[in-house]
Amino acid sequence: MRGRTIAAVVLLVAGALLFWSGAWIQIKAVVAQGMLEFAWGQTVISGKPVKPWPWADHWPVARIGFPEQGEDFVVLYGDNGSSLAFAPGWNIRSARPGDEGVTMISGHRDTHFRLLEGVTVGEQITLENSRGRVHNYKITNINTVDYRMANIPSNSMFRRLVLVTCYPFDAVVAGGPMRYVVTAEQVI
Amino acid sequence: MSRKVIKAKSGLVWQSAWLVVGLMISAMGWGVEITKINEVRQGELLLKTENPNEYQLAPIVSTDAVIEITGPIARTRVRQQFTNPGDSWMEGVYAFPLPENAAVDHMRMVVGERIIEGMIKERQQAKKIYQQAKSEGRRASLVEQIRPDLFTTSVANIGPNSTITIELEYQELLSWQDGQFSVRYPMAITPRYLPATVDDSEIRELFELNDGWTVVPLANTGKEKSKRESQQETPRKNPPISLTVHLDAGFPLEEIFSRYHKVSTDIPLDGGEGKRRIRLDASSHASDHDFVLYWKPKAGSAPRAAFFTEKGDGGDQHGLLMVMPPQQEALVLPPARELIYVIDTSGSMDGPSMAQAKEALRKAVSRLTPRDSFNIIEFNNSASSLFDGPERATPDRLLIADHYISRIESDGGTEMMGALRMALAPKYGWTERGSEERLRQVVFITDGAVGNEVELFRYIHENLNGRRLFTVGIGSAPNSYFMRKSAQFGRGTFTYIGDSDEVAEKMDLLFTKMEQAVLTDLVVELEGVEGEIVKMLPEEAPDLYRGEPVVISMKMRQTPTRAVLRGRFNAKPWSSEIALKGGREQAGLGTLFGRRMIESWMDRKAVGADEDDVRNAIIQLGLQYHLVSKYTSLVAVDVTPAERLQEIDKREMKMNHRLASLKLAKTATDSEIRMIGGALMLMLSMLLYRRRRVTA
Repeated sequence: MRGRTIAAVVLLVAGALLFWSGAWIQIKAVVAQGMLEFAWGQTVISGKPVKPWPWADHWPVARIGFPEQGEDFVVLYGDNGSSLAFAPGWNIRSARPGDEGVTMISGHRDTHFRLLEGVTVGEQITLENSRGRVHNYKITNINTVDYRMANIPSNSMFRRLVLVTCYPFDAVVAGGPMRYVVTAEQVI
Repeated sequence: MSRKVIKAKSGLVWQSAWLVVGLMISAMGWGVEITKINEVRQGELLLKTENPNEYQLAPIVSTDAVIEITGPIARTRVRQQFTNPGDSWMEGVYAFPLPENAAVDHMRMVVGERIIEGMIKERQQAKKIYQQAKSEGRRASLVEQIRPDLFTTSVANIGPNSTITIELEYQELLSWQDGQFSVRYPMAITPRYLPATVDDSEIRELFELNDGWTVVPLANTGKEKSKRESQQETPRKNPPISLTVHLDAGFPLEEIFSRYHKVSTDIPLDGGEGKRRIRLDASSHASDHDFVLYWKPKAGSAPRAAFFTEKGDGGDQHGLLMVMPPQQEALVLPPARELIYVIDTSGSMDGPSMAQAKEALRKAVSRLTPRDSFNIIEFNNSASSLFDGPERATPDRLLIADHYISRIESDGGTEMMGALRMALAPKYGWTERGSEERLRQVVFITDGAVGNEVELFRYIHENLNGRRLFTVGIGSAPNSYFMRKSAQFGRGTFTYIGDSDEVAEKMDLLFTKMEQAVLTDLVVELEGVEGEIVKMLPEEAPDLYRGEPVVISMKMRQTPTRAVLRGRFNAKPWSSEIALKGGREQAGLGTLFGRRMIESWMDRKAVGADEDDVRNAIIQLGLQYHLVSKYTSLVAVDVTPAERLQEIDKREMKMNHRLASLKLAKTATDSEIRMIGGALMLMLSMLLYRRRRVTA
C-alpha cells in the first residue's frame, strides 16, 4: 500500500520536474529574446558588446529578420548549447555578420528556427550587424545534409548566409545526424 | 489475494514504463526513416546496381564559373565539383558544352589539399595514362573534346563520400558586333543539346568508353533515362551552378545587360571606369538559354581600332588587330543583288520552327527592290524552286512569291545537297551585262539537321564562285556548328533565331547587313616587318558587313609599325592605314593564335586535306600552345594510389572540416521529449493514486 503511494508521489514529482524542465526550454527561448532585444539596442548605440544579463556568457552580435514570416531574432555570439538556449547563435569560425564571406547562424529546430520549416527559396532575410547596418539576403537554396559528411565551404567572395537547424523538424528525440541548411545570398 | 492483484498491477506499471521507452525508441527509429525518404527527395539520381533492389547514387556535379574579361579576351575558370554520395569508389563522366571557339588550356585536379596540374598529351596517349591510373586505383582526371563546342571531364576513383574538384580554364575572343561586345556561357542543361543536334553516335561512344557511372547533362532526354533505367527519379533539378563575371572593359560603359537571365551588377571597390562585377541571379535560372552578357561603350568612347601584343618565349610575339570599318559611308546606293533563298521544309522543321522560317522568308522577300533578282528553293527529300532561274523582283513576281511561301508545308527528310546544287548551280548565275557589280547572295534557312557535314562544306567551298552564303538557324535546337561553318566556307554570316519574338529583329539586322556589304576582297598588309611576319590569321579575310570588325591574329618576330587594309567598300576601292605604335600588352594572344591555327587546320580537313597531315599539325599546335583539341587532351594523375590514401584522407577530411568547412552546431533540444516524458510520468502517478484508492 505505502510503497504504491510513495511510487505515485515520486512519479508525480519527477514527472512535474521533467515536464517543467522541458517547458522551461521553451519559456527561456521566448523570454530571453525580450531581454536580448534591450541589449541589442544598447549594442547598436554603443558599438560595444553588451551582455543581456550580468552573468551571461554571450552577447548579441546581430539581428536576423524574416519579413515574410513576420519574425526576427537577436543572434548571440557562439553556437554552442549555452547560447542556443536563448537565441540563434553565430558560428565564430564563420564570417562576422554582415562581412564578406560565409556567415553561419544556427538555431534550435524546436524553438527559434522552427520557422525555417516554412521558408521557401526566394524569400528575403535581413541581417543587421552591430553597427546597425542592414544587409538584405535572398534564399537561394534549401537542403538537408548529414553533419558527418557536410562540407560547407567557409569562404565566398560574396556575402552568404547559411542558416542551420536540426532535421527532421518533428523528430521527438534530439541528437540526430541530419541538418536542415538554408542558404541565402546577398541581394545588391 | 490482494497481493497477487498488486503484483499484476505493478507488472502493469513496468509494462507502462517499457511502453514509454519503446515509444522513445520507435520515435527515434521513425525519425531515421523520414530522413531516408527525404534523401531521395533531394533530386539525386539513383542508379540500378546488379542486385535488383540496390541502388547507387550517381556522382553530383556542381559548377562554379568565373569569367574574367580584360580587353578583347575573356578567360573563364570553371570549377566542377564531383561528389560521390555513395559508399563505394566510383568514376564520374560529365559532358558539358562550351563556346564554339573556346581554347581549353588548363586543368587542375584538387584532391583535399593536393593540387595536380593537368598535362597536355596526344589524345590516345592521354586516354591510356588515364585508364592505367584508373586501374591502379589512382585518382585521375581527363578532359577531352568531343566536338569544338562539347567537352567531357572524366574523374576516376572518387572515394566514398568524398569530393574531387576539377578546375578548367578556357579563353575566348569576345564578340564585337554592332557597337557592342558580348560574351556567352552555355548553361549545362539546354534543349540545344537534345539528340536532334548531338550526334548520337558520339554520345553512344561516350557511354561505351566509360564503364563507370556516367553523368551527362542530357538528363532531359527520354532515351537516356531508359538507358540508365534510373528509378524513383524525382524531377531533376539543374546541376547547381554559380556564375560571376569580372568585367574590365577598358572604356567607359554606356549600358550592360544580360539577354535571358536575371543578374545583379555592382561596381567593385577598386572599380575604375568600365569595371563591373556581374552575378547570375541564382533563383532565375533560365536553363533553356545560354547566358549572354552585352556591354556597350559610352557614345564617343567607342573604339575604332585596337592593337594588342603579347611577348612570348624565344623572341616570338603574338598580336591581335581589330579594326572597325567606317560606318557612316554606307549611305551610297547599295549595289544590285541576286538573292537565292533556300528554305528547309523537312519534317524536323515542323511546328514553330516552320512558322518562324516562313516569317523570316516573307520578311526577306519584302525587302527586295526591282533592281534585285531572286528565286526561292524549298527542299526536303528533294529540292524544287519557285522560278527556273533568278527573276527580277517586280511587284507581280513578289505576289507570286508570297503565295508560294504560304503554301509551304514541312514534311519528309533533309536532303540538303540537292538544294545546294540548285542554289550554287552555274545556270543560276546572273548573265546580263554588268553582272560583275552584282552581289550574289544565298540565304539558307534551316535547322541544320544533317549528317553529311563534311561533304556539304566541301561542296560549298568548291562551288561558291564569288557568291556569299548566309545561314539562318531556326528553332530551339539548330546545329549551330554546321551552320556557322557553312557560313564561313560560304564567306557569309550565321544568324541564330532562338525565339519567335526575335525573327523580325534579327532578320532586319541580317538584311540590313546584306544590303550593305561593306568591305569585300579585304587584304591586310603589315609594314615595318618585311619578311619577318610568321603568320596571319585568318588567311583569307572574310567580307565585312555593317557593324563587324576586322579581327586578325598574328605571330611575328617584331611589332609592325603600320597596318594597311585594302579592299572594296561598297564595290569601290578602299584603303585604310593604322599606326600600330603603343600596342597594349595583353595576355592570352598566343593561346588565341594557337586556337585559331587549330581551327584553320580543321577547316582544311573539311575541304579535303590529308587527315594525317592535319592530325600531326594539330598535335604539334596542341602541345605547343597547351590546348585541348580533337587530337590532344589534358590529363592529370595523382601519383599516390587512392586506396592507400584512405587513412591520410580521413585525417585530411578532419583538417578540412576545421580549416575550410564550417562545423554544424547541435541544433535541437530535448524540450519536447522531456515534456512528453514528464506528462507520461504524471499520468502514471495519477493512475497509481487512483488504483490505491480503489484497493483501499
